[in-house]
Amino acid sequence: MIPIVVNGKRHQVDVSSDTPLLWVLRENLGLTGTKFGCGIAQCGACTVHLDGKPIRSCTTPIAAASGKKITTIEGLPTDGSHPLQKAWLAEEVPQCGYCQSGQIMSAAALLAAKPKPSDPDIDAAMSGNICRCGTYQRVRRAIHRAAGAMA
Amino acid sequence: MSPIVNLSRRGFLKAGIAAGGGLLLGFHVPVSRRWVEAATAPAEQATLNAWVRIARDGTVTIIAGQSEMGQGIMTAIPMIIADELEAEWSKVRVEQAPADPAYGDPARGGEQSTNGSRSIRNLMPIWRRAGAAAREMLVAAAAKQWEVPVEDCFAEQHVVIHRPSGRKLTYGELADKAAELPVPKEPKLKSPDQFRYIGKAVARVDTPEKVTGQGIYGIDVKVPGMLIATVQRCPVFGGKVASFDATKAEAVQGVRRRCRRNIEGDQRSGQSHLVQRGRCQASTLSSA
Repeated sequence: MIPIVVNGKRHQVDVSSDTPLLWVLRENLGLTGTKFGCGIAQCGACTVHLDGKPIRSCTTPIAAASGKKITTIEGLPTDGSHPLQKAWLAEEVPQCGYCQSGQIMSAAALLAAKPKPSDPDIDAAMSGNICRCGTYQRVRRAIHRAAGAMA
Repeated sequence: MSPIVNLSRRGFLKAGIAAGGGLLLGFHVPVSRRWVEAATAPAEQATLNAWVRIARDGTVTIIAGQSEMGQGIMTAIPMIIADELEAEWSKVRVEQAPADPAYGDPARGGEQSTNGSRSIRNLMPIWRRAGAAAREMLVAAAAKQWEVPVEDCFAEQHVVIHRPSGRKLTYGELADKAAELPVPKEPKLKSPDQFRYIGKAVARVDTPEKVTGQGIYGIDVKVPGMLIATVQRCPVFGGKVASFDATKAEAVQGVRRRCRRNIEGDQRSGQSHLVQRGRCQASTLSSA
């Protein structure tokens, strides 16, 4: 049994220590908001926070996450009241939406580190989150909007 | 370009009373069991086989037959139907239809997929007729109740109004009575200048669930006894299996079976399917 803390809740999961965190979130805890995209840390769909830092949960073994604070998209308000979620709604960012949990988690980490990011800051922080629908321009606008609302 | 469907060949509209009350309206399909199901299903259930349902509290439920893949069809269908229905947008709900040719595109053999910008092009006339027919039935129900000529009544934003007297009845109040009336075969459609939602920017209904992680995708669905297969993909294009060793895979907790396959590429109708020619080395099947 491996102890983990997800969105402030303690869990004991019965998996081997090299199980990817993503699998534990989705299969063991039923937190399906975090998506499987590529499985090799290339697309960003599985982005969650580990002690506030954005990481790719598909390649993070559960042993590396144990003892740290894990935050998923479900750790943000479920009513969509987080400034980023409100900005995402205002800009109508998602199309298919599959990558958006990862996009929002990367953006949240960016704003926590840099409350007023420039376009290059945003591009650098978000470059690991691929969107097949091509919502990049709206992602950028929404981050600026959220930054303004949080100021 | 797909041809626009000839409406006269599409058949006629048919209505029924939803269990639990309200107007249920959809297009007649040859298989009558769908209507049996619709008539016996509780009103609160999501999978009624019809396009429009109006509950006694006025809530309009529109069944969207196409699949949402990001194109916004789950918003576009209710926009079109609600427009002709003169429904108030805040009282409109949308539900995903079950997999059923009744909701499909007749010009695509009953497909419910969303592709090629064809859903709106092919199905819009059908959806408009569904909304307009429901609207005319509500107006007729009001005229009947008031014992006035139907020409003196009109629908506007979830209410039927008797023009000379100013009397009003809500859609919720009229739904049950409207469901008992014959369905107009050729409902009068709006002229484009009367559109409230069509052609306007309406916030997509699926955005809230997509920014909270609540949206359910195919990969999120579990069924009893389901196993999960993963493919060890070839790292280079055109590669072939060099070796296959299942030892490590067998040691993984929960693994049921491993297999080795060469899967040829498949390109059909411009859509890429799982294109993998390569190694399935140590691919695993684990219990869900």
